Amino acid sequence: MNGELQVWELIREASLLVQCVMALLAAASITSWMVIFRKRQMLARAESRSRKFEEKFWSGADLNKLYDAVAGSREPREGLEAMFEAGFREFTRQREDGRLDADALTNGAQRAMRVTLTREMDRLEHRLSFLATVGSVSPYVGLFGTVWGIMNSFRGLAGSQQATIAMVAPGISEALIATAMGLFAAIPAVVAFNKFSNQVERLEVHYDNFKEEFASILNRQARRLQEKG
Amino acid sequence: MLSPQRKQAIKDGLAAFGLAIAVHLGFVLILVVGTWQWEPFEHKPVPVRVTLVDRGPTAVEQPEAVDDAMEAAERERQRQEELERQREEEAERQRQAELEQQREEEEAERRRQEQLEQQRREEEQRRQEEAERRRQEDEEARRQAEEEQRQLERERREREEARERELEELRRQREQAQSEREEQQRRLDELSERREREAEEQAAEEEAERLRLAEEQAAADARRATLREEYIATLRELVRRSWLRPPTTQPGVRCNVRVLQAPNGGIIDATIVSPCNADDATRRSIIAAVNRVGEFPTQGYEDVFERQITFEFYYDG
Repeated sequence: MNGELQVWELIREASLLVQCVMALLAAASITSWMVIFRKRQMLARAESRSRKFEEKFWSGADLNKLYDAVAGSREPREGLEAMFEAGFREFTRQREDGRLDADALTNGAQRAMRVTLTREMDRLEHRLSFLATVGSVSPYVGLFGTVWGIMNSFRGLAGSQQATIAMVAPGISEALIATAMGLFAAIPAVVAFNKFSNQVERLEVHYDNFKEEFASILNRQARRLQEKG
Repeated sequence: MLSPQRKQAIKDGLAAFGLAIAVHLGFVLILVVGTWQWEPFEHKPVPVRVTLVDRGPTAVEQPEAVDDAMEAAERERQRQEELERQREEEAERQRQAELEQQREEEEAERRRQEQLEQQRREEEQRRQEEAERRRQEDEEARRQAEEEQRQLERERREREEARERELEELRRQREQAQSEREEQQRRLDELSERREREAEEQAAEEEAERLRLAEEQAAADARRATLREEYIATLRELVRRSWLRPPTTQPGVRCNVRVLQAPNGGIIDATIVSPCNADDATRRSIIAAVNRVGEFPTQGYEDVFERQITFEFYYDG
């Protein structure tokens, strides 16, 4: 009998509850890896897009032209682009309404940008909590499976007259697989959660800075308009 | 109908799922390889101790003894008769055996004589055959020796001829190789000459191309430098125009001004940076002048736009 069959047999011979625990942990592990891959791709794209947009923004392009380019693009807007679009649209609309008070203009734009920022953050943080849950809970679930398996194993021991370690060893080995699976699901989830939450935090700071800078630019423009008007 | 974004999201999800499955398969593979050497558990039955008890041998039944005197006497008589008959038979057999033996001895003597005669005849024949064989062998050896001699002679001649031919062949080959080498050398010379010529031509072309590119680059740089100078001069002029000179300012002011501007040219911040030889009042007045300008021109200067630009402000009276 070779090793593969052996491990497989250990899993197959485990009691029903322990098998359920194992299935749960396997599902959690697969799902958390799915989330990891999705999140990684999403964050990488958000970073590269915001970097590109910022380069474009600070390269001295005309803001109206930039707005037209962003608003006319077919791709869904995300990150800095979305914030810029929301702020500038609000600013333009208020100005066209004939409002000339600089603070009112700026505040409106800033509010719009804040809303967009919150939405963006929500989007970036989506499902991160799942990783955190898997990371913290799955070792306990695995441990539960193990305890249950060992319990059963010892109960079987109680019924026999001549107790040997050989009678409980397979049962304990079976049960310990559950703990191994729990740890296996938890470790990548914790590592990925830490990495991603750090990345999201950095992006948030970045977005926030951009929001403030853009607001100050809009404020100046509004004040100039006010002076002219 | 699904929207393209939704479709993209589903595609991404499937890709992620595939990757996740691949990761798990990899781990299972590692697990299988890692546990390959594990000894399997054997569920051995627990040994049971059995005690055997020996109760000793059981009783055996005794056979009954029967004795009959009459029967014994009868048996004794029969035995005596039997012995008598056997003795008579024995004497008869012995006589027969003696006769037999005598006949056999005579027969043996006759056979021995015949055998001796036979041996003598065979001996004679063998001697004659031996003599004949030796004579033939001698003859054979002589013929072989002659044959060998002739063979050797022929081989020697052949060897000499072969050597001659080989030498001839070698001479021919050497000549041929010589001519081939010369031919090759000539071709190589031609080739290298041509290659050199080509390389020179290419190098000349490349040089020309590089010069052209460098000139273009220099022209673009020069254009850009000119544009930048013009841009700086415009900024300086704008600032000078809105500058309100304080009474304490002496001619010969040289101050570097750093301005942070928005993409549309709006001025966000202005600071005096070293070197600057003006007094505080003049510095303040320069900053006020920059703020009064409010917005720098950007039309036509997109190529040289800098978010943070530093230029020198001067006043010579």
